[in-house]
Amino acid sequence: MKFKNLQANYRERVVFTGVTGQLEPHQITMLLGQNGAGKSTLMTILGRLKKAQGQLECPESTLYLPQKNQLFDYLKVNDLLQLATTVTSATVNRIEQTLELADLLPRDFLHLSSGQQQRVWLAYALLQDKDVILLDEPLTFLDLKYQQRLLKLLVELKQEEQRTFLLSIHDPQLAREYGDVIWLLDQKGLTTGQPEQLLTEQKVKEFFELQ
Amino acid sequence: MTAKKIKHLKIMLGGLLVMLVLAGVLLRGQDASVQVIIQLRVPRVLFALGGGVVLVVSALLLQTTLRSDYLDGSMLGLANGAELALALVNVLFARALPYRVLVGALAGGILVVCLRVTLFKVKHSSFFLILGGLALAMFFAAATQLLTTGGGFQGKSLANTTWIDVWLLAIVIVIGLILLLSQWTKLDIFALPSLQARQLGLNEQSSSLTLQLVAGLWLGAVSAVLGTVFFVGLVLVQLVKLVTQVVARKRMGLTAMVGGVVLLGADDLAHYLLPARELPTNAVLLLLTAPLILVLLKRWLHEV
Repeated sequence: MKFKNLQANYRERVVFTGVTGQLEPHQITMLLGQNGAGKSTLMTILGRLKKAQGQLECPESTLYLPQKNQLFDYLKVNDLLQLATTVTSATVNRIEQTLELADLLPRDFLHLSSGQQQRVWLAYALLQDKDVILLDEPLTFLDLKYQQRLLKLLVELKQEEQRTFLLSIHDPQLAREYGDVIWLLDQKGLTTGQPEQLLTEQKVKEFFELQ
Repeated sequence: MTAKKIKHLKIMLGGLLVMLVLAGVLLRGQDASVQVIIQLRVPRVLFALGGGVVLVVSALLLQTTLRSDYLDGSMLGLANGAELALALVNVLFARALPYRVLVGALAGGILVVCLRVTLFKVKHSSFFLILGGLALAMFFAAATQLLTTGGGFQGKSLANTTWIDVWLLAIVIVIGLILLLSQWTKLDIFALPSLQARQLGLNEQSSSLTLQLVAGLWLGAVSAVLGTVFFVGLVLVQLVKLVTQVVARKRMGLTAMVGGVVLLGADDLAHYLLPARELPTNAVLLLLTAPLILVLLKRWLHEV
């Protein structure tokens, strides 16, 4: 996936401009930025769900999972996941076991807690046989155990199924630990590099304007 | 829906049609009291049953495709629109009035198409959708009132239901069922956000157009005889949802039955409550069901 000089507007305001980069295949890329930097906007553009000025080359097999998701009717977790499942049964088992979904499968999605719902949505995304998966703040509502389980699962899927992931995330430590490539998004544009280059203590303080 | 179920449905519908034809043949030429039952009571009962079914199922389809629990076709102006179309036909081409069910169905279908390019553009906001829909309904109601003042226009009660109404409703129901079955397997996907439905490859525009057309045809057809009844579809669909807590496709059968029984019950009350007077069916139906919205409001407030 390649993009050049992307510009996004929200009403009259320019959210970002001159954003250029490339999503490395079979890697986990971590996208960091302050609130309002345009992380979600960039991801929806890359998922071809929002139009923007600039050039974009995007594979057909791309999925975007927003930060907030909801269901509009009662649906069993099992039925919801079946709507999406296109991967092999081995991958289904791995995803369901890692995210501990067995107890949730017969339950109504609307009766689950926020954290349980988030686990289901993440499974919903991963169960689709897509080459590129864009996850917008996937760690929202997850406790530390499931944060770690999810990130390890993504590493496995990357290595064994050659999938490509882009995650927007707020924790530089997790980004450094699990990310292969780092994207920093701010008004100046997109800065890309290796975790050890971009996520040093000093650079994190500067980027997030910490005291 | 499996091929087996579709086959069963076809057999049931065929059987119903044969029974109706046989009943018509056998009871022909009987004495006056039998004729009263055949010509007045039977079509009224059949229309109430069928009309109740399509009244609520149309609401279920609109709620599902617009992803909002808080509306039905009457609140979007579809029922009043059908009534206005009927009033226009009454003024311009009164000879077509016996075919009022067809007029209503066509008006409902056309209105759905018009709404899709206007009001449904704000479907992401239930509040604006309902506000716009109610304004449209009031506009149509006012126009109908102006057209029919002093004209002796009637059509708010099932008391004047004819066999032509019943047959035309049956035809509209069958057309709607065929369209509905063509989208049957896609209904569950409307439980997902629009974005996810799109990413699963659902052509939402095409599916929602088909299902909303069914809703428009059905609601227009029944409203041509029954008149407009606000909130009934909304209330009954949501009560069944509250009790069953299953996805729209799985509760459609029960919802349909409840609709048929409730409209039939309301019509019986309208007929028998005051022996010397025929009460308007739509008013009785509204009186019976509208207060139940308080139950739903309590539930919705709890969820918020």
